[in-house]
Amino acid sequence: MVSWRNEDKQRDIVISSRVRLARNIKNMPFPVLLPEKRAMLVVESVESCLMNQKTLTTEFKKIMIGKIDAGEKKMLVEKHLTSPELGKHWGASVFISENEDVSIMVNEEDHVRIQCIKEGFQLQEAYNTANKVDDVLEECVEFAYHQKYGYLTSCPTNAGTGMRASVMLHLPTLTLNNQIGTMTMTLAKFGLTIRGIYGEGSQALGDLYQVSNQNTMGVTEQEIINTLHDVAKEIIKKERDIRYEILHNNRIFLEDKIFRAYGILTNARTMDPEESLKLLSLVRLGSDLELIDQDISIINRLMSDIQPGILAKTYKIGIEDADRDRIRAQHIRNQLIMD
Amino acid sequence: MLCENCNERQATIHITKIINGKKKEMHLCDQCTSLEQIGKNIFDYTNFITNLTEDIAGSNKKAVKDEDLTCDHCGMTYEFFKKHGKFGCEHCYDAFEPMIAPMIKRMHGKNVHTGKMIKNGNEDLVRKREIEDLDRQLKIAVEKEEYEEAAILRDKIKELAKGVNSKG
Repeated sequence: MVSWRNEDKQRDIVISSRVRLARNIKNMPFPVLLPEKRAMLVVESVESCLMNQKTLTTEFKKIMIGKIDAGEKKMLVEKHLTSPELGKHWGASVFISENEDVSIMVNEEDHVRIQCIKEGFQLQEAYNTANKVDDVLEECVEFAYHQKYGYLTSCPTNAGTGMRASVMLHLPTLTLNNQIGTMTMTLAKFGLTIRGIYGEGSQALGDLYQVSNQNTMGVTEQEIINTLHDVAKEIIKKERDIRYEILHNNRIFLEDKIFRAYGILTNARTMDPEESLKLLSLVRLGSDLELIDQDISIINRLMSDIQPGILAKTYKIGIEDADRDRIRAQHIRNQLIMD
Repeated sequence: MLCENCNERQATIHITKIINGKKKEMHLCDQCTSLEQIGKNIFDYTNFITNLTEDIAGSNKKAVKDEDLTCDHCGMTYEFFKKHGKFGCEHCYDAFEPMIAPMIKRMHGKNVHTGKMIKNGNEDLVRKREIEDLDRQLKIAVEKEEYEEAAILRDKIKELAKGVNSKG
């Protein structure tokens, strides 16, 4: 059914895979208690380490969070390169690899947070890369490590491996079918949690969810990856089953929803981020089920393009610009119709 | 009276909340009382950790007074940690040890790290971990009745254990 796509990366359902490692430098207070001068020392040691290493083939761009404007800061968060919390402590900065798959946040909650994000279902690859960056940094800085508790972190919920692995999933029909609640309970039994990527409360905007490990201690990094991988695979299977079940039993219902969404997206004159995500989610589903002739990668890109910070950067407007909803609607029309 | 949630507007609404069976008076402005606010933060991390740590202190029969614990390295007090749920430095883990082990166990289900080790870590730790690994393999070998394999593993463990002990 999806054989012509890159089957092993399951891109129709898995948007991206991510691994984050939290580390702190030995004999240095955690960022919350770190004075400016010493915080800058942390930045310098990470920087010199990245400059002098030869293992990684990429170069890193350094961004000091205090020196960029609100729009750019928002854009980094929307691209998942930084967290909204980065900027609360002295010396907040980020090092980003050339193709933006690796970002190293410095002086967030912990001194160092290595993150690797890969497109599609590539958890193992994401872990391997993050682990390699960790090895590189370990060559020149000594991390706080405890005989019993492993890597020490500012928050005890991250101690041990310091690792959070996650997959971003598009689950429109599981959502439509009210399955997310029961799924949440089942996932908890495997030590995994699920949350909406955008929006608060039970309704995840754009039907985009993040599934990640809850526990970081008493399990090895590989065990975390394996569990998350296997469980995500099951979720993907279920989402696919329901997609085809609805298609088989109630094609008109599904087609109607999808074509209405497409109609609005290709004709509307103003569009806020929430509405855009809701409608794009349906068109993405339609594209995957081949009900609609639309390249899925364009939809993926649109789901990120329409975010307030990214849109503002692209069109060189302020994030609060009065014209932003009109520009967003126009951008969506151009992308969908051009295709 | 100022609203205790936003600390900006006048508190106009006074409600009684029941948290963990205890009554608590709240004084809020109308904006903060809107439906959205009620119950919004009851599961938030800092709120949760305060209760969790208090439960642990309550069940700790040894006469460790948690209020007295302070980290000598960064000056963080256990009281402060209870409120915010974040440590001040790596040494807090040892400073608050009597409270930490049970708390971490509640969070993660386990309280011993089994994953990646630092390269420049001490040799004994590396050897200890190797022994644990071999021990697991040995158990599997015995279960499968592969006694030859088991004997080899047992000898390896003995050899490694010697190294650890001799160093004291």
